[in-house]
Amino acid sequence: MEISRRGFLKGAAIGVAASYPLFFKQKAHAGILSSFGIPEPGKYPEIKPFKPKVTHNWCEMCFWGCGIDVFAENGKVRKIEGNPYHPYNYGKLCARGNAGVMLLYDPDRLKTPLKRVGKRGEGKWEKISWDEAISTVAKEMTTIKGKYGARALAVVPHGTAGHAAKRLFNAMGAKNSAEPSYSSCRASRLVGWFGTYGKDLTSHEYHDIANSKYILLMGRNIAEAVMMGDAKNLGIALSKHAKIIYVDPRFTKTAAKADEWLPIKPGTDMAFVLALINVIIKDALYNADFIENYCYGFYELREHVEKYTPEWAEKETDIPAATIKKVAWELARYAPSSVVIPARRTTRYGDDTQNARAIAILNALLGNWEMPGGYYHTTKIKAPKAPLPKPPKIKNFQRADNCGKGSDFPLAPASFGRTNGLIEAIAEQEPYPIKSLFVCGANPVMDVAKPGKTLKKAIGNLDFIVTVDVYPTEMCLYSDIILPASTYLEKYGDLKAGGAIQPFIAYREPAVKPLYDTKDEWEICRMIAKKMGLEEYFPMSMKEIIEYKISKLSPGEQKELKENGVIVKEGDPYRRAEGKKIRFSTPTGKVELYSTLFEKHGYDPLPVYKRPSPPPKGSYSFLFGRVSVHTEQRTQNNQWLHEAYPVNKLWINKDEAGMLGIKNGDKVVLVQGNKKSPPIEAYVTSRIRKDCVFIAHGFGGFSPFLTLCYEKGVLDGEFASEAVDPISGAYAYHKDSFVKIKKA
Amino acid sequence: MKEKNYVMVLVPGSCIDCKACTVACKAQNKVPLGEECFRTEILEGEKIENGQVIGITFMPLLCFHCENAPCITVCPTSASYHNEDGMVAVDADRCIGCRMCMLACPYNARYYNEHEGIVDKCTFCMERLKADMKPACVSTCPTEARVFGDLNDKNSEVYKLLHQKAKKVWQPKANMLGVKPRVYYVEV
Repeated sequence: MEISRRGFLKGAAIGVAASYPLFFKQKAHAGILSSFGIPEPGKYPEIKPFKPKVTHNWCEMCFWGCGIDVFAENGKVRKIEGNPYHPYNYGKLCARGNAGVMLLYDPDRLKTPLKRVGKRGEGKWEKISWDEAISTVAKEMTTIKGKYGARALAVVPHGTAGHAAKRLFNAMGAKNSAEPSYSSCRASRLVGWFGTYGKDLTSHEYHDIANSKYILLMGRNIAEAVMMGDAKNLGIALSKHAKIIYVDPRFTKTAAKADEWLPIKPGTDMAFVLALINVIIKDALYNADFIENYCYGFYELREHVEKYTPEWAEKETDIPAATIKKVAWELARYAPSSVVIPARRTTRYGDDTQNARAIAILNALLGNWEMPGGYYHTTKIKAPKAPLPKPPKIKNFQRADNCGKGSDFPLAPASFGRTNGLIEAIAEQEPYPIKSLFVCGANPVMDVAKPGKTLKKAIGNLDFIVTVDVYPTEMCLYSDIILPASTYLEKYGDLKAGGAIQPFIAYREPAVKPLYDTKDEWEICRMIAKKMGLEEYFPMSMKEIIEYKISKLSPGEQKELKENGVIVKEGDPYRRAEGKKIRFSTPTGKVELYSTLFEKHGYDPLPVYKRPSPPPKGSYSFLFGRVSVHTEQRTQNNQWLHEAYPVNKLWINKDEAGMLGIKNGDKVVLVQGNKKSPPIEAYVTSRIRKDCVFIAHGFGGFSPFLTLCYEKGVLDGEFASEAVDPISGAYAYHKDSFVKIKKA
Repeated sequence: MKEKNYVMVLVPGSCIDCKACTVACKAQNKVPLGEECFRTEILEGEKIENGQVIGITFMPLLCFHCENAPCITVCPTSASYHNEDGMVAVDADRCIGCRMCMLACPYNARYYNEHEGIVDKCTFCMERLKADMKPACVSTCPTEARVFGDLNDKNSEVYKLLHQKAKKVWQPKANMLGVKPRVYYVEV
């Protein structure tokens, strides 16, 4: 029997007074205790101070890379804490970072190299030695290379683990590499920002919300798509009473912290932003000085946005014209300490690059560039280099993923690659055969659109698939060889140089020895390289590399790195505020309100709004996104995080649910054409608009070896669209992606 | 007066319900697995107007370390006690797992550890305090919705928050019973 007081009290207001008697006198019964052999009161155990062994690291539960101190006792990691010096998080850490302990001690981890013995997808494996695994990989890839050329070898790398894989494939002359973070996430924002400022917004956004007085979040769900830098700065902004406006079809946890929630019609963000630009220009609220000295194409912009009036935008977005005018005036009132922030995942409706452009332009009008409370300047810092030979340059390499110079997506950087393009190329075996896929630190099955269709077809065309991972993921099910990687807590990591408001160099050392027969990704790639006769590109182990690099630092820096885990320098964040002259790396050297780069490539040089198609009657726009305790599809099997959010639910507006006869907690299914989801619990709420439904990303996994998250919830990718943003070439997951909801 | 007067000040206005506190606490205090097992959590309260959610409040919750602690009063074995700094703790050796304290606690701050057959709760991370570290939940909280310190120290952040910065200070209604909690909520 269990007294589950928590069960029924959970969620109740804490103001409730309990009715318990106060007439028991403390210690009144002390004398009786000794007769039961219970120690007398007063002699309580002495508490020993917490003195763990500390190692320095950076977190890899997500890809923000917070500095962490890992606390171990008796050779076991007990606690992970934010590194107080690290500029990405200054001592703070989210739930996932804290739960890194449970990644390390997850019993479901991959423990040895495995070879597939059943059919692909069956999950029948046999344990093999590292030697056999590496020999097989080297042999198969050499065979394929011999038959089809190096371009038939594709690689999908992700995170810091991916760098080694990229190096290995570059050494082989195989440049078909595509990182999921581009096509599945931030591509369009990157290209849109580049077209405006000549600079990527990067995955470590340099907005200075800690000092902003007015923050307009365009679906940037800081409280749930948690990145420590943003979350910490949001906390500071909240404590300083910055005004926060949050635009999203859902009332998220970020909406809960905002002063105003603007429930925008899905896919119409650009109309809202263009109308803000319209008001700011028409009412002459812009920063004339910044526009005169630093911007290009203001007059073209002025003419272009004339038609985008607030009244027009009200019809498009469902946000009242008066609100749009008010927001525009408030943005201007607090400028340059006001800031408009795009979402992180900008793979939405196929107008995402232009939408990012619109947001970039709006910020430019506010003149917040390199000003406190706007966008700050990130000072670059470089870690010393190790003597590693550069892989040979390959001239005129024809990429398969339709990315970069000479492709349909010339502005998509080939340094990232397009996973969607690569998968399509493999599925169609066009423009040439690709026969081998090496996946390192990624799980495409769970993040591409329509994995059951295109990806499955691609897998069918591959002669050889290798996956390097910590977990037996869905990708592993389809792999011929599985190589178990060590977690970030068990390995050395290359010195990591980066820039936030302060530039830094961070350090990773293992907190414990590998628990199982796993290796770090660098070592794995090094072993493969050796077998393939490419050892010259991997002359040192990771430990040797960082030791070499550290030896090149000054004694002071060495001391700082060893003691603090990070070298931190002073940044130069507000150059413009200090009157310094800036040059932008655009063709005109200015902020291009009118993008000459886009014009040159035949794209609209100014963002043109195109109305998204509304959901057909009886259908809903299908949305998905983050919850604060999970990273993509990587953390659902983590015991602590699983407890915090075990399964996704379908958010549906209460009025719509009422009409469908769906009650909170009912099981429902998503229907799209002849596709039907497994049953999912309905979350009936007024926190979402009536024309859309939402599920959290990362669920619906089907690897039976991930025992906690196996078949929990619904996989969003199956209902997402394979459409593409015409400029960035990234996914437009929500474009014309509609579902019907039926009772299960 | 005791030398130290440790208190925790919670700022619900800054809490984003990210659960970092709950997980950090689980790690630090070896809280067993299970959704019902936690020493601290976040409650959520919706504000609804005309059937539409217009606001959500996130309310961090943990042991209030009452000066007149009902859990200590009802404990038949004196397993619950005030330690030298005035915090309420449970001596696992004395606890018989009767769960009287769980019923007595007006804040639902305790849980039953099935594996060990004892009741467990927040201690403000005593072993960390001894090592001059802040409690795990405070140290990790990204938005500084949790502030910890010695209220006897006029330079401490908790003192400044409660005496200078706060627009409003409150404690849950159960304090009407005279339990004198060491945890405060503030609006800044």
